[in-house]
Amino acid sequence: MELFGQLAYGFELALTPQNLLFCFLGALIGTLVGVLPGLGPVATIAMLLPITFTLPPVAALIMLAGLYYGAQYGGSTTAILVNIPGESSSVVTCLDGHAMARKGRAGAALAIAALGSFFAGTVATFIIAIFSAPMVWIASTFQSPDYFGLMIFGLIAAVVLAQGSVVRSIVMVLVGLIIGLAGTGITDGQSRFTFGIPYLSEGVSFVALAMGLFGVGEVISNLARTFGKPEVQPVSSLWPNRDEARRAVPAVLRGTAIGSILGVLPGGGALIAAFGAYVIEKKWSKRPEEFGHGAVEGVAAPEAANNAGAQTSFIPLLTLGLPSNAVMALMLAAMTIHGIVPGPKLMVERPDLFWAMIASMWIGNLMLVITCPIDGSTSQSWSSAASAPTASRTRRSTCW
Amino acid sequence: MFFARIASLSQIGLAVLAPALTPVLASAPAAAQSYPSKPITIVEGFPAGSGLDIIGRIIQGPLEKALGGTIVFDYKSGAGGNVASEYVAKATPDGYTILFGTAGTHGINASLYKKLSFDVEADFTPIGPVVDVPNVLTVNPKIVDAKTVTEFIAILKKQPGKLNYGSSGNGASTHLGFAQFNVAAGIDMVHIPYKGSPPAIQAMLNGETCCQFAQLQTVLGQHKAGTLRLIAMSTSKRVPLLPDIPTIGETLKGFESVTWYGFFGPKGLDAAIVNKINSALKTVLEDKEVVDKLAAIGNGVRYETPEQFKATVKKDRAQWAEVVKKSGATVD
Repeated sequence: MELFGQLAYGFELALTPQNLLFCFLGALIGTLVGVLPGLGPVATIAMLLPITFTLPPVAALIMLAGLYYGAQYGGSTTAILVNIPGESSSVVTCLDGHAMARKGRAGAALAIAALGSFFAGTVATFIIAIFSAPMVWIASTFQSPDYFGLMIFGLIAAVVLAQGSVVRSIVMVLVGLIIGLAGTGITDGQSRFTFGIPYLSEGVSFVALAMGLFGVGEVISNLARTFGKPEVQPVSSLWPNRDEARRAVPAVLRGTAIGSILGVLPGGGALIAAFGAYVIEKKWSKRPEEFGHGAVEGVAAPEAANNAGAQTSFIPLLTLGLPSNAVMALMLAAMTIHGIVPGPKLMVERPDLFWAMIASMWIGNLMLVITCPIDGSTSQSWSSAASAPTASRTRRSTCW
Repeated sequence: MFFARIASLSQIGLAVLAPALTPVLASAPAAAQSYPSKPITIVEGFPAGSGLDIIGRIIQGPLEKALGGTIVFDYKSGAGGNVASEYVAKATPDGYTILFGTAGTHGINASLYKKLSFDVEADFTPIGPVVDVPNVLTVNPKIVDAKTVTEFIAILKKQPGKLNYGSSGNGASTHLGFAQFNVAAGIDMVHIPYKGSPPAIQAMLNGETCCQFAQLQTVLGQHKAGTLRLIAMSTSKRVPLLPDIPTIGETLKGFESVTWYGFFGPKGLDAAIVNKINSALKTVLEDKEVVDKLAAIGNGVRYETPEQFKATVKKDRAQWAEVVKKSGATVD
């Protein structure tokens, strides 16, 4: 009962006109940022940070949080419509989301992504409110050997679940490992594959790699095919048909569960959650051969997972004061600058902040699912906003 | 100094060159007078939201006011801050590209990294320091139940080579500070570097490591909750925020491992611009609101003139070189 009282307190704070406005602003800017490839939540939060100094801390953090989960919604739109991931965590959505769009099911893919994200967001909100303590226990008992185990599991899963030749997938895993080796060794400080270029000292950026593989590839293929106009798939019917819905529901449930757990782990968040959910979904599926060719589950699970993961990655920050990824590190900085000491005592010292943030997360998710992808024309214009630079780039490159 | 050089040039019969140089000379003081006429980029060698960034953001507004210009932060993280240092070392010395450096980038890295493409003293113009950042000897009381430095050393001496200490990275001040402590206290521990502060603190909480030199602001929340215990400060004086916590130097005479953050320009930065930024810094660091904000997270303001700061860099570089050598830390 105490929980309901606290949640009601949170909603009371989150529903004040000012906080509601900043929640909306955060979610809106987040969606835009998610749609624009290459501009991620880290850069945007860093840019908007000075603006929040003049705001009360609660409003500021509500807005910055909205930006992060808003980006998870926006990222999938371009992934599905133009096969360019707007966000690193929507890379996986490209695989089946865009394949669905090619089959004329773009609307259904968008709706599944949005509704799946909303469901996951709702569940994750309640997980933060109710199960923060046990979740954080999982995170804080996770030691180096466990991480090693998780990595081995990921590598084996990549081989087992790949289609076609096993030898080829082993080779690709090794190529990935070699790319991952670039950078400075954590324990010995040795430079590996940096070729004396300081920019490689932190390794190859995943976002840059994903943009190169998906984004640049898409631009090149557009150039070859239509000479300048990126291919935007038309949004037909927005509602998934009965069969699609039946396949999406269990996938969303699994994606939410996986995302909620992986989001809490240090170093985790939306990205690992989306990949993990996709891999497990493929393994679970009776029709693994459909994956990569427009499998509904391949959109539903990772989309639910990335949103759940984005939200539960707030748990270590709010309950331990330890950020689990780069976005949370910025949130921690924002709190510190606002004079709040993040740590295990935060919930006791600043219950207003804690509960208002949780309530605002659910409100923000609701706003996102109502306003964005349901309106087909909006999502079309969103994606043309994202493809505009592509188009102009293409045009420019013909001049060169 | 410029005029002196011109005089000597004319004296040896190169008067022809003088008219060509005049516009350059005339524009230098003018540039200083109108400085800043466009946004100033402050380059940080660490990601957005780092401890350095927090300080930068706290002083950003007041510094903009004191300078009468806009400040933009640019994050070029990598190689312990060297990516940013290299960028600024090679930038145009016009006052619009400034490095927010640290005792790490300008003290430690000089001896830790063998192949730097710049010299931390010769290729920079020191402008002024901003804060002193205390490191604090922190333990997980469930693993090492020590309350004082003496107790801590006694427990560690009983199990040489058995316990791990963490750090926020190989060659970071949190690593070398502890290495320095190990040498001073005559204890033997295993170092485990992590990728930044949060995973290092997490490891201390879950028992993978027993203890760490942590930047005070990163463990304040744990200290309040009692999950980690702060034993002693690495600074020469007690930190006003937590006056009950002694310094390591009170037990181990002369021990000090302090790190500072400060501004550097590329070499050849006009002295007038250096002085302008330095006096703006002075104004900011005397602002009570700024001082209080910095003190609330355990950092003390540190003001020095450009000349004093230059001497500090020289002194700390030599001091850290000694520590790096003794600790045997290497980064290739």
